[in-house]
Amino acid sequence: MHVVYTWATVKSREPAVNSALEELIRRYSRLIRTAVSRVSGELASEEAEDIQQKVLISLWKATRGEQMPSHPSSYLYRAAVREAVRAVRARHAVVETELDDRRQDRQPSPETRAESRELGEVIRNSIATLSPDRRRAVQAHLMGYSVQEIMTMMDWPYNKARNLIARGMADLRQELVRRGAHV
Amino acid sequence: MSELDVLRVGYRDSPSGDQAAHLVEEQWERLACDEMEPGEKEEVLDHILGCSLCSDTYRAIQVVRTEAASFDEDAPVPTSVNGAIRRFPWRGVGVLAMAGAVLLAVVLPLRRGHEPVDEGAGMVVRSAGEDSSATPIAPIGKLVWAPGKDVLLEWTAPEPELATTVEILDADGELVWTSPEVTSNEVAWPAAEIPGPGRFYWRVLTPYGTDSEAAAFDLVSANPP
Repeated sequence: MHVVYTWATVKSREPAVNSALEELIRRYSRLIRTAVSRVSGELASEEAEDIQQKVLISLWKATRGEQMPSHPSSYLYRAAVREAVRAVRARHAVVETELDDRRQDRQPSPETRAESRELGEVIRNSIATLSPDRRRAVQAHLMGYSVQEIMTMMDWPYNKARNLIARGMADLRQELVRRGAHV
Repeated sequence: MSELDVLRVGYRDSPSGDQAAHLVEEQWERLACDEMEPGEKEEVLDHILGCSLCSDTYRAIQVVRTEAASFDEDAPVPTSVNGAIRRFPWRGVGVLAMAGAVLLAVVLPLRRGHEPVDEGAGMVVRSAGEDSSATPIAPIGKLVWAPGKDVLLEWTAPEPELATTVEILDADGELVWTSPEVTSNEVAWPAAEIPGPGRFYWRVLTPYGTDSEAAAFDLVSANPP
């Protein structure tokens, strides 16, 4: 028989947990739900609830381990990071499967698939010719990171981030033209 | 689709050829706790920037990191980007002031030893505390905005009588609007030119090289859908 474990069923079988710690676990599980939603688009409420429950139980189990340190919250932060990684990967796998199904339904012509693959290759090869900082700025820009996110990621001040994106994108466009790619 | 969208889709959808090098959980943990050596961090960021899965994971970790410090006192304190924007000009002024002081301390005594000093010549000295660049005043931070209304941008400038322009960029760093030249210390961003709510950066460009640093503001609609 398939048993669905929820926070309530797990808690009912175990001794009471410190209420401050429990609140912290709850907050982290809500936060990871939010983080996954932000990167994967709006989730169906059932799916979001499922992610939250899984994280809640995993984090709670982590606090029952033998290696629980004297500062449980920093331990929880690390555990939360690991849970966020797992949740995004799981969500990514679902999205990829859905996309594959849709791609099969639409059946793009071999020519279209080849063109798309070719353009991606030309873009990546063109990016590889840029100087290291401009390359990173362009990659981050094309991955959809905002200037603010790029500043945080690279530890660059605003003007540096802004200028590297602008100059890097100009270099990329020039390289694409040189390679005969029409975007 | 815009040219940028085509490039983004083309880039994200093409395999990076480095899929085997996905970060393991322990690396994510160290990255989120600032425990990586610079060389390793650079390598890891290079992978993240070329891999859509790790890029999404990084974003999620950043959300956790940004928010965790608000309720968990043992979580690492996130980097404040707004702080970085405002801190930058003062750090620059401080470095310049120190460099200037060292230069004066070294060069002036040497010059005095070889050349007569013209006591009559006036010397203008600007202290580091004197405001020598344009400075955005408003908007900074959150601005509740009624769609259809202009947004007024205000700043201080050391020489306000000279023609000045304002540049506004969106969160992606794309230029959204450039003002006409003005000689006052304010200009209205016309409602028709405002793309909608979101984060924007703006700076004041002066013809005498005292451009302001960028200020950020979040335009929030007064009539949410």
